[in-house]
Amino acid sequence: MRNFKNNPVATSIFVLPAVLTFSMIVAYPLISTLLKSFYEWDGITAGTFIGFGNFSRLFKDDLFYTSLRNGFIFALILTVFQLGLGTVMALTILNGKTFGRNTLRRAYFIPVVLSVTVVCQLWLSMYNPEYGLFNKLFELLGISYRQDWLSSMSVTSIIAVTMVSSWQSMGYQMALIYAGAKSIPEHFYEAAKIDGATTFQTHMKITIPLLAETYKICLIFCINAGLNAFAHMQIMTKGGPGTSTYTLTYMMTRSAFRLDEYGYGCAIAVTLVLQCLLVTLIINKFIARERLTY
Amino acid sequence: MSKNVKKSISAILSVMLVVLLAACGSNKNNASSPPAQSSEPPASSASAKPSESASPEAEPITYSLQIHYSTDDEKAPADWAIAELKKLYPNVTFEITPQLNDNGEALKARIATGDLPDFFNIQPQHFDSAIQTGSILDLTSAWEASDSKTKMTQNAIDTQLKYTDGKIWAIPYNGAGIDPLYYNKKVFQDNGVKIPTNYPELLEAVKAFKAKGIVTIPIFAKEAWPIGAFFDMFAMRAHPKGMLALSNGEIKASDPAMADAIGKMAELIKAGIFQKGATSADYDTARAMFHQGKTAMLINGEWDIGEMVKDFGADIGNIDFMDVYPTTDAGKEDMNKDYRPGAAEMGGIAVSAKVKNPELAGQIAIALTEKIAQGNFVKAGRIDSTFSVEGLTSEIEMPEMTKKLLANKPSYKVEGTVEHSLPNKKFATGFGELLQKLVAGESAADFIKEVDKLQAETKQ
Repeated sequence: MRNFKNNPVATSIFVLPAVLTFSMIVAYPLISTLLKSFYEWDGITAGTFIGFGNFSRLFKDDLFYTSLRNGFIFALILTVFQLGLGTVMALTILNGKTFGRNTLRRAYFIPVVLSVTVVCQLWLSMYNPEYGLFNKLFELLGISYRQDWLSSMSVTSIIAVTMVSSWQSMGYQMALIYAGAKSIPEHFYEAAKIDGATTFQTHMKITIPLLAETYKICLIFCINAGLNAFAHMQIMTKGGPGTSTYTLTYMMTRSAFRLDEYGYGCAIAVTLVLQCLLVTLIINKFIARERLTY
Repeated sequence: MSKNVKKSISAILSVMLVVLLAACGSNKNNASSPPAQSSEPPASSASAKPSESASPEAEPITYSLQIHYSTDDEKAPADWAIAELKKLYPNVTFEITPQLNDNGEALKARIATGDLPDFFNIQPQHFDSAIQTGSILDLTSAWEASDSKTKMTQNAIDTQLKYTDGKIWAIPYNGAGIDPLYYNKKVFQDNGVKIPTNYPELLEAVKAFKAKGIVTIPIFAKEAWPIGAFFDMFAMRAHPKGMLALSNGEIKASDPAMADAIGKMAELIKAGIFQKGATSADYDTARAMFHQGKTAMLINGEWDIGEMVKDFGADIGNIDFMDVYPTTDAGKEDMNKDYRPGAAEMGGIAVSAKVKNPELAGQIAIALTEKIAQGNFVKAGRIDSTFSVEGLTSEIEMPEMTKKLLANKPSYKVEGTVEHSLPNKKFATGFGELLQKLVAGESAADFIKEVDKLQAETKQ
């Protein structure tokens, strides 16, 4: 085995398939997209090199800022909702005294395995302004807060769509946090118990601080999912009313597939990739920098 | 678990993976063999030897053809057309590939790669790229030499045949289809509301229905085209081309006549003509409200008549469409009343520039298109043929509303088009989004300002 490890030819041969596959399905499309972002290109003809023309146009485009704002709203709500409620749910089922915790664990995870189309249709019914669950609840409670949830041009629509995504993926974050919490050695809790700490204090002082690395991963997932959001808008609002629920991903498909401006679409895609990379780098730089070992 | 057991399991899994990959590889090889469509052509397109009447130089020739050929409604007219064409060109055989319902994405890729079928159905949005890349045959001279030109309807010749460069690149077979404003007489009757004949009466009707909790028009405004049809019902009174005139820059939204039409629309929306949540309502949801007899009116295409007959059953007599859209002030009902929202789209059968015997191919494209248009009437009961159907009988029984539509059609003028087919794509996309904002409650003044801005930004 030692001889094998020291043989660079053998190592290269074994690594080559993975490198080639990665190059074909990740590196090549990325580089190709980057190159095409410098062209005025309709996806069919050769295109014309315009340097940073697409990027300059992008930063002057009002729709870019609407999309960017919506991406951040989406990311923020996903983060608060999924990490907040995900933590509460994970800690609830972590507690051995919780009644029916196995059932709860499965129930929390069910939305994750449902198709996004099914989930969106379910919520479309609940958001229906005439006979939807939410407005009916307000009516029953005598509260005059009936909303046209998905047809509002204010931020109501994007928040309404984000809630659906938050609800659906919450179980996934819960599973990550739960798995992280389960790996914390029992003796920390025993020590806390001996010191007379309450459950709340134990979680605040032990569980949550020791989950810093898990939270970092969850945060990266949440923010990138928010910035890349597409499917829920496509099914529920088609980006509307008008462009009020557009995100950068939606703007990219609009440019590439509806306007045949593939070059501009590539520039949006590059901006999106850079945005996600930047956010990931910032999170890695400032959160949970020290690796915890138990 | 011991290390040996783990190793054994890993080895077995690896072998299974290799076998699976090998299986996938062999499937791919099979898939690269000629497609089923071409190896097993339908009966009508099966290779037939040239008849004895064919001239000696008429060598057998096989062309590839890509048209809508997936459902029975599509296959029957196509088979009929090919059988009729065989009588004219017995030496010509077609290998049919069904066209995908993918908004033309596959065709776009084939234009880019220069891999077009000999004959294919092209949509208007692909003309520019096909012409720029020199992928399609110019059919202008073939058309000029053809007898078929005397059989095409005048509206199709005027609006669908020649592209913006004055040349003919495709022969259209689907003529102008209109978007009627359907209404349910019983809903009006039961609620004591007068069927409107002009704008003030329509506004009164909307208010009356709203007071009773009834939606006047359920609209599926998640898509922009039905809002575009609603827009044109008003805008065409100001300009016969409606939103197409806006797209072409022939009129501005702020011009008094157009601004007045937009003002009326905004007023009706504010009064509650549409259901709440209209911009997130899909086709089925909105349409079902009318088909279940819950709402007063519906904007939809001609194609919905057949479904209405099924859904309303014995009550279909309660359903009709407006002969004149109630969208003008009283006393001005006749102004531009024959102009209808709908589509007289370009596109149709085009020919690849790489086709064998281009001269013959041009003649065949024209004859084939004529037969497809007529086949749609004979076998599918469609009434939007671009060619005369005189002397032909439809095998499909026509509902009363279709008969009325057929009788009225000669007086209808369709000079506009649907929102997604506006030739200026940038304007079309932006305008669709602005229409949604109008339905969501944007004021007429803001809408006009934004349309003027969009028009200036997207001027071609």
